[in-house]
Amino acid sequence: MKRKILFHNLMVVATVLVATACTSTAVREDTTGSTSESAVADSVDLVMAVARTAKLHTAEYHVHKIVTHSDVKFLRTTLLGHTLDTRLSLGDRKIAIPIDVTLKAYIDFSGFNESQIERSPDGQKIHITLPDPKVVVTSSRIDYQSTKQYTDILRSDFTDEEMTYFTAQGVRSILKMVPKLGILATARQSAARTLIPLIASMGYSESDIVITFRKEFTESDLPQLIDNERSVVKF
Amino acid sequence: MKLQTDKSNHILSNSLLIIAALVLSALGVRRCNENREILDVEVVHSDSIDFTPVHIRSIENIGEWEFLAIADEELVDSTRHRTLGRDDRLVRIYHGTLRLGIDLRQAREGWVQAIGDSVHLQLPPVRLLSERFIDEARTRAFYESGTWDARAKEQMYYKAARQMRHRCVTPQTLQQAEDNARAELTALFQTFGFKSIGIDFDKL
Repeated sequence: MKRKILFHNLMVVATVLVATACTSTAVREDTTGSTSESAVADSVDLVMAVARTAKLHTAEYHVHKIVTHSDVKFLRTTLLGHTLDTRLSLGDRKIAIPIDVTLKAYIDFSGFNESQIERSPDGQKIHITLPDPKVVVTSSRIDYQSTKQYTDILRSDFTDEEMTYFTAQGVRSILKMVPKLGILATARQSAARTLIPLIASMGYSESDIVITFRKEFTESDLPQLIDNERSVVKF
Repeated sequence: MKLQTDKSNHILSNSLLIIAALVLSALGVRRCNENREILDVEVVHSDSIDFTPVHIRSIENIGEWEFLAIADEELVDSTRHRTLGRDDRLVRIYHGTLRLGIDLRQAREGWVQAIGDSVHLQLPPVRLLSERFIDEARTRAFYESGTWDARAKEQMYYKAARQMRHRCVTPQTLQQAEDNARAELTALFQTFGFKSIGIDFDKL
């Protein structure tokens, strides 16, 4: 009888151990690329930061993009360094999120000084070298009415957190396209259009005013000059 | 009797062997999984977006001087009450930057009057430069239970915008922006060689 009880207890212990080990190898589903712990750790503190600026916004771009994502699951088997992906027929999910983003090109005059102004000896002509232009995302908006999602019966709908995550990726991809949008040329023309009448009213003839940037940027320069900060691209 | 005892001993020893094998294999699988060297099996999926084109809807030449930027976050909580079961809740933290300054397109003709080394600027009033200041890509979904339709999320967006406007566009911040505009434009015109600079703002 005692042996039977001992045997029964051993079986229970073994079952628990096996179950624990199996749990560690169980399917892990992470839909946003972030762990649940990091989501919990998010702060709810509300921040209000005030900054004194002197930025002349010269050009505004309204950009539209349909952010799409296809959520297909694969069983990834790694054996001795070799990886094999097998598509699982658990059901797919797809989402299309239209977003509207406003980009503004600006020139920051906070560091502008006399060394950036050159006058001809007779004082008739003036040459101004502008600070480098920058581009900032001033707003981004999800078009919820036009957002479409398709989910198979075995899958759950996309969460609000996932939608926000994809939107953020969409804005980043727009920023990567900035060099190809021609915003630099627009920023320069627009800056001249704003500043020339201002300088002309100081007594200069419009034909005697030259406005340039620090250097002649080319399209190939631009990707290397993208700022790390998400919302600001420095040319 | 002896035969029965031997049989039970045999069953017990076999069972112990099976258990030991199970435990060892379980520990082995776990170790392999931790090291991720020998065998690893997991379900994966891509969390990146697909490549889609970018459309430029409009390009506008503007002339907006920004003199104060206020970065704000607003927590908006929406609850839908249910007769049966738990209420649905959606809590989002919106991020926005409200930019205060002057729009030179609103400046009157002849707003700069220069005589000798003196200049006078008649500027349009300081105001919120754009009503579109929320960056939804930086919005954080803080809590979600239940399903929420497009209309509910739009209402939350407008509520966040109202809260931000109320919090950030105040007589104090407008005055701060105006003071900064005076300081920055005075410094700018000094670099152009003007010694006396007068600045006035139109009334709203």
